[in-house]
Amino acid sequence: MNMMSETQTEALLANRKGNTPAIKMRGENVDVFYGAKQALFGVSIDINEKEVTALIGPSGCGKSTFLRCLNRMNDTIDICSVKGRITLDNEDVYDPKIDVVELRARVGMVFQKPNPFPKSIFENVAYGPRIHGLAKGKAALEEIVVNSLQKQACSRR
Amino acid sequence: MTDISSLAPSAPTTSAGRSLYVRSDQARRRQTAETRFRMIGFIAVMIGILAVAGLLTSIVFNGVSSFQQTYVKLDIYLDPAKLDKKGDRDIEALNKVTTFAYVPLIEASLRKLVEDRGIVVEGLNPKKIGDIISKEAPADLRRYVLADPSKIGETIEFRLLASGRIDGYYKGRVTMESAALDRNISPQQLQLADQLAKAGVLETRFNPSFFTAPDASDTRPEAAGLGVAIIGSAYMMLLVLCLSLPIGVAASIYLEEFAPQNKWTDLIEVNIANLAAVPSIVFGILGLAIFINYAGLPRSAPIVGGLVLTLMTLPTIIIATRAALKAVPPSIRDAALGVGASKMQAIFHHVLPLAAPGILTGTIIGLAQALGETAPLLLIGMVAFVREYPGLPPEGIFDPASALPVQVYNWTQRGDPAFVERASGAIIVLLVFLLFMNAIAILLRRRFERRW
Repeated sequence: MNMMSETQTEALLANRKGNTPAIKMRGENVDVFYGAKQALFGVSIDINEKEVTALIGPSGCGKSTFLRCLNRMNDTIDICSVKGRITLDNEDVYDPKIDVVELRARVGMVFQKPNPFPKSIFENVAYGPRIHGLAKGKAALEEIVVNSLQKQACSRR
Repeated sequence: MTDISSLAPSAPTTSAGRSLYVRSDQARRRQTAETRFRMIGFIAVMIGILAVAGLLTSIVFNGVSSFQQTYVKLDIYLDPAKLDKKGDRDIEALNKVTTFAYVPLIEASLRKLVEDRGIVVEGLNPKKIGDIISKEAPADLRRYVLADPSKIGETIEFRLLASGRIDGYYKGRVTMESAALDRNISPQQLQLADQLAKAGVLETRFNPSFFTAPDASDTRPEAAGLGVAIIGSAYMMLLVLCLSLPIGVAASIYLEEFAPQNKWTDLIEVNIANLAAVPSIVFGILGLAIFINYAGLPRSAPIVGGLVLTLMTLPTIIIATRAALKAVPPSIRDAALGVGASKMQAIFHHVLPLAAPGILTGTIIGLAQALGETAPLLLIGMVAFVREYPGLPPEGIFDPASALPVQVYNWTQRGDPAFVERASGAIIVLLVFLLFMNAIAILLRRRFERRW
């Protein structure tokens, strides 16, 4: 993992400290192994609240692997193991006592390859709010869907 | 590189004798081998087609006549003097009148008809005249009277079954020559039948009771039907569906989505694959030992047959369901988990609906396999001679019943050649059911299967 060197990260942190933004997620010395093969080497990063943080790097350098660590999507891969510490609001997301589903509800993920459910667009957008009970009734759900699509400029209404 | 010019002169010499129109020895050998292989393949396919065609023609040829039956139309006077001596139409008393009391009514009616029409057959005694009617006919008559005692005293037209030999005469099974050697029929009786047919009294027509009537004894093949067998098979299929689908799908989902990969799940997987290859009669022994001897369930009952066939169908369904679940791409699960669905929500909202066509296809194929299964049913007593219809489910599944393939087996064991026709007819019915189920499976697959 040579995505970001230690010094660069520190420089970035120093820069941010000026306006003291709140740290939302933090990775500390994250190592990821696929079986015996190590894919990430000691990644440490702070991700601030209400900011867009971009990870840039060549293909295969571990961007997606790191992202999948953040909401434990790597759990679905049997041979994958994660070392180090990742926190969300100072709570360790790899603590065995936390609820993975709750974590993923708060840390959403959009994949590199589009993988919509083979259903209507409405159903695809409505699925998240529906299973988390964010909408009371059909009208509210429709409003969420239409709003989201409008923000994405997918709907003209 | 610079040597190209020195190679150039040799090139024309190597290709000098070659033309695209002349095949080399090697090419010719390859081509002959290919032609030979193609011929072998074609012959193999033809042998297969011929075998199936031969099988089907022989079954249809033998069996299609069982859908028709010879009947005699008779006006029968339901004589109160014979059936109800007290004259009070008391159902208790009528129940005590046996089938034998109805025989003279039929014989009298038939003799009267023969006299009225002026039919004379030399050397035919009156007793033999009555014998052209099936032994089942008096029982039919008795059932009719018991269902409606008020009809006693009236003259009613009945369509009664002709005896099996008479029926065989019109189906080409019995000839004048064979009748001369037969204890059960004489050429004179056949002549009488011909006369009656000419008078329009005796006719061969569609036989609905083949599908509704229960089995009949060796001496009355003309009355044997598939009613009890069809009900028994239907009950068993219902049981198999209700038990093996939920159990099989639950087991597959657990193994495919939740179970950790360790030596125990490996062992279970190997065992499931092995179970699918276990000879079906072994399941019969298991059913006999566990469900009948240990659990004390009744013999010949669809409940036991259904349980045994469920055990037999489960591996098929589990294997098919796991394949269907595996075919759903992991990106669907990732997408659901990525928006915060729990594992179970991901499976039940997305994976299972997408796997459903595959699961249903596997289930129907498994059911069709169970429908045609005979061996395990023989061991749990389904070969018994059952004439009583089983009751309605759920109690009915504990009543004795037969099953379609077992009925076929049973009829092929009987002595009377008329049962060969019955057995072939039953095979046709079974094949129609199987084709119907397989057609549904193919339709489902065509209609709903997705490919990624």
